[in-house]
Amino acid sequence: MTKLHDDSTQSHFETDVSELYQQRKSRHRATASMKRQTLQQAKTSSNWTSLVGKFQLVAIAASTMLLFSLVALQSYEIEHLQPKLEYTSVFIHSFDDTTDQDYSQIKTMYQQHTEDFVQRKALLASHHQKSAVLSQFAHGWELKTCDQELVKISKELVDTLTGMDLINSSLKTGDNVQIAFNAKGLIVGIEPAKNVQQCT
Amino acid sequence: MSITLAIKTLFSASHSNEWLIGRYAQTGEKKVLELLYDNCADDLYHYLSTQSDPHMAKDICQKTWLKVIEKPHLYQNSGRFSAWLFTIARNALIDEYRKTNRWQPLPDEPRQSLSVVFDYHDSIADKFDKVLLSLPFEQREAFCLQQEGFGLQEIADITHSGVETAKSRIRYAKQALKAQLEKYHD
Repeated sequence: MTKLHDDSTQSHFETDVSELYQQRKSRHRATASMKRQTLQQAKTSSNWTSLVGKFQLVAIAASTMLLFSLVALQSYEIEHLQPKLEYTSVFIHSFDDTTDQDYSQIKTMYQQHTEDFVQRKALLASHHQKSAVLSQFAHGWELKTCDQELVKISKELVDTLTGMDLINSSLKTGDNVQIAFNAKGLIVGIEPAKNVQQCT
Repeated sequence: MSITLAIKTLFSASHSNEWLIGRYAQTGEKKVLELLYDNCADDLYHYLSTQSDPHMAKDICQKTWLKVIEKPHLYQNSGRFSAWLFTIARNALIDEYRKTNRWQPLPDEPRQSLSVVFDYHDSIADKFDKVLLSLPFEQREAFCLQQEGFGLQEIADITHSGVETAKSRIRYAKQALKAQLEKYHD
């Protein structure tokens, strides 16, 4: 320890301390029982690991066999257990007399629908022809539209509409009027036009 | 018996701990583990017993070796095996301290009031022991690791600190040892 006494000899101090440290280490060593226990743990762990490894191998083998079995079974089913097809013959029948009857009925219905369509078209056209020029006669009114169509209104209808206050009583021949139609195309009112009709 | 010992010595001398752990990871050979254990067990146990008590040191040793046995593949070839082993042990030790609420990290400054009472009949080895055990945990640890041959970077890695911190801890530890042992000499 005399070397430690000298501050200038740091390396001697280091050496001495290291020696003391090694002496201390030699007094504190791992015991044989510790080694035995550690190696025992290794053995147990190794056994367990090998057991797990074996289990994994068995599992892989089993799953592979299962896979092969399933594939083989499926192949067998495809080859041998296909459902038998059953055929049903269908003969195309010929047209009989009822066809002509059906045809005439269809033709009648078609004509009826065509007439309805024309009427509705005319009604729609008239429904849109709201502006007209009024001409009054003894037997009733005539309303002349821009496309030279003439809407005749009987005196009875004029009186009825007047009675219902649907026609302005001050209207006279030559006035521009607005004719109001309902959804069914019936005249439901005649009023003086707000704007003068400009027929092109 | 002597032939076996000679073969064993030759085998252990020709292979580093890093080779042995790699071999053990691949094969799980008990013999290889035994060689690794013989190479490192005393160093590890001494470190742990210096940082705790013999009972806890034994316990932590078992845990550390168990981890090596169970997960040898976790060792990466980036450093020495012993550094990895000490890192595992140190982490296990700190965990144990935290579990028992005994973990109180101390500041890195030298302890001013460090004073060890020596008995008259104490030998220099006894006094060294007393001074060493009276050092703060981190300083004692850094000193021990340096004595085990670890470099500053390795010590920093094992203790999860910086290199400069490790360096300071070693310096403080040596200063304290020198002061106390010189006092004894006086």
